[in-house]
Formats: sequence, C-alpha cells, structure tokens
Amino acid sequence: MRAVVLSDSKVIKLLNKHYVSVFLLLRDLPELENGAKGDQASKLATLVTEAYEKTITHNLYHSVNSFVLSPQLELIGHLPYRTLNESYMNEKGYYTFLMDALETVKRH
Amino acid sequence: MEREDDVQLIHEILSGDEAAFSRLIQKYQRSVHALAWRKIGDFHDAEEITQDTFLQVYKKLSTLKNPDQFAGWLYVIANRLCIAWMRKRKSTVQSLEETSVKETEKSDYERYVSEQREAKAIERRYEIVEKLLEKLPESERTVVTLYYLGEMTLKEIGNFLGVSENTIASRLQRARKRLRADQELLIQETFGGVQLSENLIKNIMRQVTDIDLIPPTATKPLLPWIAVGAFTLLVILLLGASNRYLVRFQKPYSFEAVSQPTIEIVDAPIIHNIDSKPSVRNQIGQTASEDEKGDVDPQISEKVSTSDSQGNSSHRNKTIQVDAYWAPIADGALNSPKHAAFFNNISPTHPSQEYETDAFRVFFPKESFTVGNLWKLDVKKIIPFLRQFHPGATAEMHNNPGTEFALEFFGLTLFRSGKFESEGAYACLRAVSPTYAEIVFRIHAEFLLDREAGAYFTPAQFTGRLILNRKYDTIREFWLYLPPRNTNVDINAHGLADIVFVPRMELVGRNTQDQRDIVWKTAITEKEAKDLLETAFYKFSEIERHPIEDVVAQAQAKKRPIHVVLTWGAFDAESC
Repeated sequence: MRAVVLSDSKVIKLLNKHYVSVFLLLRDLPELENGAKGDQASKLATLVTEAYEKTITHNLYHSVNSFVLSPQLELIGHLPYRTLNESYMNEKGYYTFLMDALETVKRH
Repeated sequence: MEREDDVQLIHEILSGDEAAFSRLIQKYQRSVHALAWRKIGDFHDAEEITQDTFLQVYKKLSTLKNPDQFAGWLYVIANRLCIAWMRKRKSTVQSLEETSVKETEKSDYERYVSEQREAKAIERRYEIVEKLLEKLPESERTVVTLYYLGEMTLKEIGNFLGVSENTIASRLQRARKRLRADQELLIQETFGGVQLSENLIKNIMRQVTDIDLIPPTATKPLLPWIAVGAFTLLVILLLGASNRYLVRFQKPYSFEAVSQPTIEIVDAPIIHNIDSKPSVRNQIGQTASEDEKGDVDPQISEKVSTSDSQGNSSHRNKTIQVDAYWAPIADGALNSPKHAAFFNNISPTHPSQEYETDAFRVFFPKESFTVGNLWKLDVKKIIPFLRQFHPGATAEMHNNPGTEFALEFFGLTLFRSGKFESEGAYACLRAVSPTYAEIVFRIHAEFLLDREAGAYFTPAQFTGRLILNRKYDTIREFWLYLPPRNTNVDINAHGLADIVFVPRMELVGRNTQDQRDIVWKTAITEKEAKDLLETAFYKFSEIERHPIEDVVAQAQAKKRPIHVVLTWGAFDAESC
C-alpha cells in the first residue's frame, strides 16, 4: 500500500487538498483511548479501535487499515488493505474509495 | 513612536513621495538586514543585500497587488537576493582540491586582512551572542534575531515569516526559557547596539532618483520596455535557475533555513601549515570555529606533519575503533518467532573493530554538495559495517523480489512491475564548519540469520551520522543506530512474523583526540535532514501528516474529512 496506492500522485494530491491525514500505530491506540493526547484524539482512537476490532472478530487480520471519518467523528469508510474487495487494491480503487467517502461527508 | 501604516506609505510612494519611501526603508531596514545577515553570515554583504532589496521594492512596488501583505512580499524579495548572493558566491568558490597550498595561504591571508575591519571587542561579543543563539533551534533563533536585531513586533515577524503571531510568541517564549535572563539581556544589548551604515538610506535614495517608478496603473507602464524585459529576464532566471532553492523557501521549514555555501568534502586536502591559519572571524553567522583559533590538537597535527614531511600518505591509514551494541528483543506477541533460537541469543559478531579512515569514504558524496543536499549511497559498500553485527547482513531485502513484486491475498496473486521504493541508502549534508562536516544517513538493510528457516531480522532503518575533520582527513565520530521507536524490527522465521522492539542496536566510533565543541557555520536541523532522507525513500511522505492531537481540530476548522491509516508497524520504516 505504501509503495503503490499511497505513492500515487493523484491520491496524494486528493489527500492533501481535501483530507486531513493522520498515521497511527496499532499499539499506540490503547494509550490514545486513555486520553494521552486529549479528548478528541481519544474519541478518534476509540472509533478506529472499534472498527478495527470488528474485522478481527471475523478472523481477519490486516496489517494496514484505512479509515475515513467526518470532521464530527462519524465513521464514513473503513478499508482493511488486504480485503476481499480487490477493486481497492490499486491506486485507482483507493482514489475511488476516497472520492466516495468525500461525497458521503458532503451529503452529511 | 508608532509605526506608520504600510498601506498609507505605499500609497504615498506611488503618488511620487520619495520621503515616504525613505520612511519605509527606515521602518524595515533592520529587519531585512537581520534576515540577510542570518542567512549569508556577512554583515557588510548583508547591508548590500538590504540596499538591493529596497531598490527592487521601489522598482516593483506598483506590482504589489495587496499592500497589506507588504512585509511578506519584502521577505520574499530579500530571500531571493540572499539566494542569488549565495549562488554567485558558490560559483566563485574554488575546489580546495584544485587550489595549491600557496594559493590557499594567500587567500587565507587576504581573508584575514579583510576581517580586521571588525573591531575586536565587538567581534568577541558577537561570538558570545552567536554561541548563545546556537543553543536555540533555528526557528527560535530567527525569531530572536528579528525581535532584537530587527526590532520587529511579534505581529510584524509573523507577517514577515508568514506564520501566526501566536506561533511567533510561542517561539520567543520557548527561546527565553532556554536562555537565562542575563543571556537574553546580552543578546538584547548586543543586537540593540548594532548600527547599520548611516549611508544606507542615502545610498538607496540616491539610486532611487534614477529609477522611474512603475505607476500603479497596470495598463501604462512608464518603465522603458527594455528595462522591463531585462528585469523580467532576471526574474525568470532567478525563478528557473534557483528553482530548487525557491522550492525550499516555499516550504514552511525553509523560512528558517540558513545559508547554504558550497562545500567540498570529497578528498579535502590536509592543510599543511596550520600556523598560517587566518584569524577568527567573530561575527554572527561566521563564528569562529575550534581549529581556526590555532588551538589544534598537537597529536593530530604532529601525525599529519610527520607524514607530510616524509612525503607519504600515512594519514590515510589512521584508524578508528567502532564498538557494536545489540540488545535482545524487548517484546513480541505470544506466537512470535522471537522465541526461535535465532532471535534469542543475538549479539554482535564483532563487539569492537578497527576501521581505516578510508573505509568511511563510502559515505562521502562524489561531487560538491551544499547543506541540505541529498545523495545516494552505494548500500552494498556499507554492508561491511553491518557485518560487525552479523555476517548475514544484506542490502537485498527479502520482501523485495526485484523488478517484479507480488500482491497476494486469499490465494489470489497479482503481479505488478516496478521495484519497491524502499531499498538503498541515502545521505544528507547536515552541517558544516570550517573544520568539520556532518553527514546524516539512512540505510535500509537486513540480516539473514538462517536461510533454511527463512529467518530474517529486518530493522526499520539504520540512521546515523558521520562527522569528518576536513582539515586532517580523519573521522571525528561515526554513529549508526536503529532508532528506538516502539516497533522497530520486523522478524520472520518458520513462516511466522512479528514486529518487535529492540531498544538498542548501534555502532559507535569516536576519535577521542578530536572532541572539542563544534560551532556549525551552516546547518539544517537533524529533523530536517531526516525528513529529507525519508522523502528520498518514500513518495508517500508527500502526504501531509498531522499529529494526532491536532487532527480533529484541523478537520473541523478546514471542514475536511479525516483520513486515518492504521498500521502494525511504523509506516515510514521497513518494519512495517
């Protein structure tokens, strides 16, 4: 994902223009949930953890997960990278994922 | 005295009031000079740049669309002139390698004579102030300089640098915390006592009378077309030829960037006669460095002179002892392969090893480089250093099968052409002083512990620094280490994988005879150097990443959704 999807110029441009991006480590989530970086970060970490754990309950482990949240912290999209939905496994698919999420946020 | 409003002043200047322009110079001359002085490091040349900046301002004032943003516009003009000055200086710098000893001594002597213009007492004071300023990060140093030397308000500095007043206030506050009260007072008094040439305004105004001001109407420029053409060409040349530098200036960090003189660090010759060194130049940006004071290490100089007098090159045989440390894995999942024997008893194969100075040349660039420049290293030539840890060190990452790589999921395999972006090694020239140069590097490599078991130990990265003594052609310090992030090594064995934490893995070598303080003449911060190195490996680092504590507030302020990437290992490293 790092070498292909997130290194695509079109994806990078879209993210820098229309999104606020943050990269998190799975092992940092518990500390963040406990408020190590403030209330807002805690809410965000809790949402991400819940969404991530849903995939674990289906015995699916993914080393990389993407999420889109609205500015009001509603979960709009979740994309475990090694998903069965192979259309997202390339830069075009990821761009579509981001565009769809952007439209959903706008409709909110 | 309350400062006059820029908009009003500009209006009066464009109406033909030259006295208003004189007041505008009066208002900003110290700020422009302070900025130029910090960037190029020469007080007198900074005065010339200040003069040229205001001449450009006068010529182009009518093209300024928003007079409210005059300060920022002025900053850009001053910056560009500093860059042009540095480029001009760069082109005149001869490679030391091509300069004979005699010429070096002559040029040193001329420099020495020219430096006598500075009064000794003032120089000493500037030296102290500069040392105090060196304690501060570049962003805070610029603010302190503009505040005390430029006599600008926080708001004016904010406008000048293009950042908020609050940010400037925080930087100033942080700088004050780092400095003791008496140190701050010394800076304040020293900078407050700096007097620009009394003729500066007169010189500008004399030249201004020969310049026809472009009228504010865009349709009927009075400036002769030929002059417009020449000026446009100059701007195009500046924009085109120095685009690399301008790009740096357009990035937030680069607003605090310091000057980037060219430096030859490849095969820098030994200075044969240390007694002929010029005197110290004690001026902001040109602070004296250790060996220029003639305070050379007798042992090193003796070795050099002995080898020179014998006409051989025994200096190349100097060695440095490098010690290796490799701590055990500190954590890992229950089913982690860390429990395999390969990972349980890891320790350096060679806890201590001697290297010849020449061995470190693999980190040097092959041509002249300026501070902030990157170059690619031949990672295969660096592997011998990593073999001090383990003989299985390799530059070929096991998860990178070459020109093709596979994406596999649930039995379906897709092949894509192209290589992974993450192999290799890069270096960056971080800092230079007349005696030393510091190279920061980043290396991606791993260790094959057992081929049959597929046992790999893949560090997130190795980073480190090499400080070389250019005068004696020796290595002052070599430090290669695994950054101690909470997940910093990917391990694989028997088909299992884990991302684990190794608290210490490093190679350390120091020349104990060469450990005086270094006063860097030109430098970028370590973080800036490391960020530059990261971009060399990963294109994804072009994505603007926000700290977790700010991200929600940023999203709400900008009304943008939040894009979260959650990973098991650090995304900007090979442990992921």
